[in-house]
Amino acid sequence: MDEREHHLSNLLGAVVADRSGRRIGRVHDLTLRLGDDAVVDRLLIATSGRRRPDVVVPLTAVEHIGAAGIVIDSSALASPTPPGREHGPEPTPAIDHLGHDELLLGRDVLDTQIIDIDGKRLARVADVVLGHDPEHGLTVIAVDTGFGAVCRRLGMQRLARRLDERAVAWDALHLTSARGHVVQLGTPAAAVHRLSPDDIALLLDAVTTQAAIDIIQTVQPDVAAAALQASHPHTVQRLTRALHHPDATPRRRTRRHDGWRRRAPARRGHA
Amino acid sequence: MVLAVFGPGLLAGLSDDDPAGITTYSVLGADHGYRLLWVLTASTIALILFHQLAARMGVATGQGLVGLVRQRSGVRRAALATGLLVVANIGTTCAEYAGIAAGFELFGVSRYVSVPVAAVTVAAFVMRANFHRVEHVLMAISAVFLTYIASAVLAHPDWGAATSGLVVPHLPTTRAAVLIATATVGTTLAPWGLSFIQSYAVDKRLTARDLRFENVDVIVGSVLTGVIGFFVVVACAATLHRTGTPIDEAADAARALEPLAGSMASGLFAVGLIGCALLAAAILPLSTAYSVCEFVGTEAALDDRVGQAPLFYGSMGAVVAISATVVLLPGISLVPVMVLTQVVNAVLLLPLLVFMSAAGRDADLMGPLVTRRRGTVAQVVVIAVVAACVGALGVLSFT
Repeated sequence: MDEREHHLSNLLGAVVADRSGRRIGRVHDLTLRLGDDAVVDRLLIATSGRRRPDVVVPLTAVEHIGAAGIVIDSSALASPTPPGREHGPEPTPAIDHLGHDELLLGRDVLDTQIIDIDGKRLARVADVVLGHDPEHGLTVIAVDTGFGAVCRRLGMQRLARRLDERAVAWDALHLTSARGHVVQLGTPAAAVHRLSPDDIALLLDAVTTQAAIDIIQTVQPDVAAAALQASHPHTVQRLTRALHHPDATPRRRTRRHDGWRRRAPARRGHA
Repeated sequence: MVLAVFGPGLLAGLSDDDPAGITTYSVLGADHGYRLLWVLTASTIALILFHQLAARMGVATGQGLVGLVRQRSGVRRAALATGLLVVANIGTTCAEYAGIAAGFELFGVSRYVSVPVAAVTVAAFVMRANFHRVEHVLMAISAVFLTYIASAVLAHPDWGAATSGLVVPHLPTTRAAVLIATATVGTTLAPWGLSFIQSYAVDKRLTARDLRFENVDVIVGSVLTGVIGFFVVVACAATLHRTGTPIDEAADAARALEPLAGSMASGLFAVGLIGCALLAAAILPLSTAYSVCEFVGTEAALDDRVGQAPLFYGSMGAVVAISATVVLLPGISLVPVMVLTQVVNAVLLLPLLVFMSAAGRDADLMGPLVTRRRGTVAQVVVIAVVAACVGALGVLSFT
């Protein structure tokens, strides 16, 4: 694999072929495993004529990423699936079978809102910057929240070059997408676990009530109490009401499904 | 508690009764009497369904409609939706300032005084006041809609025929009737209203606990919207339709009411026109600013100061300035602007409704607030009716 920096928006939809140039399909999404490093783990491919991904290959099977597309080792497609899923293709779409520390970069990160913890602001991810590290492979370095990246994706290259990149380091942000938020809270290395109460207060002010309650219930009780003290009075009132009246804020009714937190159908919903 | 939650539904609903809406209702009453009042009933139900869905999506996702389009459908579709919304909103805001101009001219005030004063007052107020002050003042302006009720009562309508027209559907068969019925649905369920209520619910920090009160807020706002429309139609049906007086705009209706229902009715109608135009002239630029900021990805909140949210207040100020300037340009006809606005709104409305309905059914996105089966069926019916209306509008416009 080459060692250039890559933008996720360029990879999504890119043509995937084997060494002989035989077209396999297009990149549907990339899975990201959140551990000590944010390592891209697998490539989801939608073969020709399909809208949903039907082939999954580990990133180790990727041989080259270039402007013309992605070249993969076709043996990863042909070999039978061994136990585990590290070395071979999966027969079914992995989109519903993510690991507990895994999320989809295109679905759960790109174009979603994030909290830029250092910049103390709410922003939207315009692109994800990926770098190749010989030791780990493809890792997420940062997200670009600048309008320049939006212009680049819309094909307005000249305007994009005039606008500055607004990069937010991957370890200095909190994801607000449903899956991203849950996975980050469950990852020991995530930013939320080493934030000061003031920074957590910023998070509580910015996210939805349910997400704020998730954060309070994840961090240490003394940190949560200090963060609530530092929050805006309206936020404290909102969260206190929800915490003291559990029925008031619909709880996430969840069940474990192959490591994927999935909500069960609501018994009483809203028409 | 209920009063603290009230706001998004009332403002989004009542601002649909803008000068373009009042004009549509006036033409409906003047040309067709009480017969097409049932269209108002149908459009009010559609308004309740989709405004409730928009508020619920705001609570569940913490994002406005355009932000959600970008997250789920990508930056290209979001750019298209934002571009169309901005164009349509500027066109509609032009109509609001034209309404302010026409309303004040009925009292002898020149548009070169009323429009700049209204534009500067609206922009300065929204920029300087905090969220709650803005909300309270806008809701106070909404009280002006009561003048339409008084105006209708003074016109001595046939209440029996009005009630019958409200609940018994008469299918329109003429081109003019189909056009005005379609326009009535279009003026009630507008893309900017959907985008405004969702963003505003987010800005107000409504929670799941607030939703049952918010649903009441939406119902009250939507029903009041329908009720105001009802009284405008009734006032025009009882006077202008009876005498066969045709009208082209709401100001014509106010003028025409004077010899038929007295100067009090005419004056009240004009005051209502100014009030509804002022309300929508404040809300449309706000709705545009929310949408632009959600697309670009910057923060947008009414509690922010101008320096904290330059794009939010800048885009709001730009919409106000462009619209007020267009209305004041000498010799310019607003008719092409209005036609373009109606077309863009119609083109945008259908995909937005489909997007909202699909997003509302996504359990991963909505969690426990996901739309249930009955709600889905009702939404699909509304989408089918709107699709038929847009199709009819397209066919009738080119034949």
